[in-house]
Amino acid sequence: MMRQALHIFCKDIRRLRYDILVTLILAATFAWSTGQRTPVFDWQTDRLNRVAELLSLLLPLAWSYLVARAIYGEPLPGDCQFWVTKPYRWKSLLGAKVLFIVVFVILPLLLSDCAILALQGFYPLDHLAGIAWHPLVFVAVFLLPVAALACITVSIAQMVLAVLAVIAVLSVLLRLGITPSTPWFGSPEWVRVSLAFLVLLLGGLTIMVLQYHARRTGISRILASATLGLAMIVLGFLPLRVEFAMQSRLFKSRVDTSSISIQLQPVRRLSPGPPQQSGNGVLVALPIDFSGVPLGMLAVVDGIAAELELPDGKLSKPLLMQGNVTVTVDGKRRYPVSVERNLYAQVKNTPLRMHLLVLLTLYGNPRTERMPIKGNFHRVPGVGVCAAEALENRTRVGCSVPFRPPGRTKAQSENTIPVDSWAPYPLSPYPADFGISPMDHTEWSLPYQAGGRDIIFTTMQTLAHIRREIDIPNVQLADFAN
Amino acid sequence: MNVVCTRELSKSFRHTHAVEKLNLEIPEGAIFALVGPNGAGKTTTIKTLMNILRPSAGSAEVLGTDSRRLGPAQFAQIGYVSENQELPLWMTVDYFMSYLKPFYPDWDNAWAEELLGQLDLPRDRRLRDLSRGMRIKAALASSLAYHPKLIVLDEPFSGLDSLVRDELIEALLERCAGATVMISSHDLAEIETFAGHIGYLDGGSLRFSEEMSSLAARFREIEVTFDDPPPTPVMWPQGWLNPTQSAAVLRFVDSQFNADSTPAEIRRTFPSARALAINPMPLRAIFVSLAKSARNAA
Repeated sequence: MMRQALHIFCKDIRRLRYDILVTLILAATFAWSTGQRTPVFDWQTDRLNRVAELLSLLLPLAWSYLVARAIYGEPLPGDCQFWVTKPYRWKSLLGAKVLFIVVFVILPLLLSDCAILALQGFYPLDHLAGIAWHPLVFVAVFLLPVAALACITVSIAQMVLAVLAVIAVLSVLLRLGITPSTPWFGSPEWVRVSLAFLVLLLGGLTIMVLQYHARRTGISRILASATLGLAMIVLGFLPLRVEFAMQSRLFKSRVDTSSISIQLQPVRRLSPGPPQQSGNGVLVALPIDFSGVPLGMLAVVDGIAAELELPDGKLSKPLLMQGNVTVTVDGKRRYPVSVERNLYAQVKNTPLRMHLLVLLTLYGNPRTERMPIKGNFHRVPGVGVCAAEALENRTRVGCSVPFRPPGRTKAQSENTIPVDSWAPYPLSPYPADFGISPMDHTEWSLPYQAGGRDIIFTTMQTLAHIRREIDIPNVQLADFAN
Repeated sequence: MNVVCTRELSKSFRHTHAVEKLNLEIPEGAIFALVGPNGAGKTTTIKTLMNILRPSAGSAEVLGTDSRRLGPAQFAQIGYVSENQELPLWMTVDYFMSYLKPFYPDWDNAWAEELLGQLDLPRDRRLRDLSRGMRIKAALASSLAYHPKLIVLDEPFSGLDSLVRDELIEALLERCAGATVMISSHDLAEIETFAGHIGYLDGGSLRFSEEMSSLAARFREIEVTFDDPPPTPVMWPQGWLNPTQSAAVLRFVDSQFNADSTPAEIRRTFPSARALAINPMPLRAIFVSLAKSARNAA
């Protein structure tokens, strides 16, 4: 079997030698240009940065094209292919294609990762888990669906048409008002994204095995549609509670969180005025407070869902937190949820019972490091390679780190308050996330401070994901709008 | 032993019945021609036999294996060439042959060389740069080089000039002694010189399957001459096909000709007949009369 697989593999190399050469050149150029990137903007490397960004888009497309072409060497749908009446063993043929992906996608990506890490001043062997995981995630999440699609189509043009058809169907669904019911919060999303990609992975593998084993294109196409549909349902409609429960179950709590409770702060009514709008809804900022958070720990809200008991006794649709943006009123933090405009108009001054669900992540074990503002780059232990850039009235701080940030990191100048980075801290437990660059880049925008010498980084580890629910009587939405 | 055997084999595409309840047997060593007009179901039958298509009902055995289970072991003994086969056009003739070689334990290098020479194939030319006839030749060479037990040719001569066709037939006959050959065609002239058995497929159904000699013996063109325009017979025998009449002459095809009984039967049916001419028919004429008869019946 192996001999036949190698024979087919060698044939594919011969056939696709120019395509392979182009992808290898692209990968090498990407590795080199990404390896030159700096943590903050630098005129000298600006052009290279643009090349790296362009290649980060081009390279996945080039690899997709290469993999599809390799599969189209022995097309699976149809009844006119010369190879179907030749003594091909299906396992050999599938093995040859897998070997092709390993040698010409996984291996170059792995080498590219090592080269980028080395060029960025990191020792690749210190990041073995990320180096091993990163290409696998890329292949499983991106290339395997492409390969599965190539197994049920006969040409690149047909494949592109299939992708366009999917986009068209999704557009029609959106036009029909079928939109995701579960919003994105930015932190526990990794659960549903992982589940959706798991669905795609399993569906893709099944399609490939089914096609290579029995060439049942009709069934495989139905399976592909079902897989895509299921992945979309998981992405758009997996209830937040389920998502959070799975996250809590997968993540073993490292602290006792029983002392933490939530309550709605007794606040005065906001000044009257037109309420803020958000899409079809009105924004209601809930003044939620936490108590019992152990000293040195930080509780961050991942999501809020509030249900109202309406005058007719029915429950409203959950009012969901809009992003992970908070507003501060009178020094107190408020969390905006969106209420349908009609519902708001009907019940804004009616005292209602509110059932409040709050999802929190607890961070702790703070570790502080300092970095001088002056100088090009500094290796900050536990944070990455960092640099600061003085702008007009801000200081921009950037850090590059292999694969993932080491924790939730806040940055501050001396005597200013700590600031979160622009990008939300990923809560997934994986050693690397999806992408073709192994470098994770984080930036902070700090208020400028004259005479400041150091930037202080405080990195905290995720300790627990917790959920709290309370019932609050006599809530008037108008009290919290504006 | 039958190399190919089908039982009530049917293949449908949605509402179209391409092949219906086909019962076919091809004995070992036979050169079997599956003939019929375009759209008769020849290609579908062959693709079902080759496990390219799955039967909708019934079953087929090829080399003693259920067609749905044909795998590498069986395909190593089958040479399949089809007019609409998609070859790897990027390969040169030489690379095509050397690529296929490791798939076949019985690949015969010397024979492959001879085939390439006999078929006058340019070794360093890509298949995409070859004419259609040359591509068929390349496919044939690659399918004969391992001494297949069964050679299946689906309309291999369609659209080829007569010189290329003769070369292919010559190569086939010279090189395949002992192998079973199944060849489909809608043109009888090209296969009547070498086919030993023939099956006639029409509208997805097998009208007959028999040895060529018996087929040639039972079809005759009959010409009956009368003094006056011929009378319409009360009973028109079932085997008499496509009657045509011009003035005092009646012509028809007898599909059940028997040298002992047919002349007497004609005289019984047409007592006023003045003369009777019985002519043997070439295969092409038989095919045309069968097709015409089927069309008239429809």
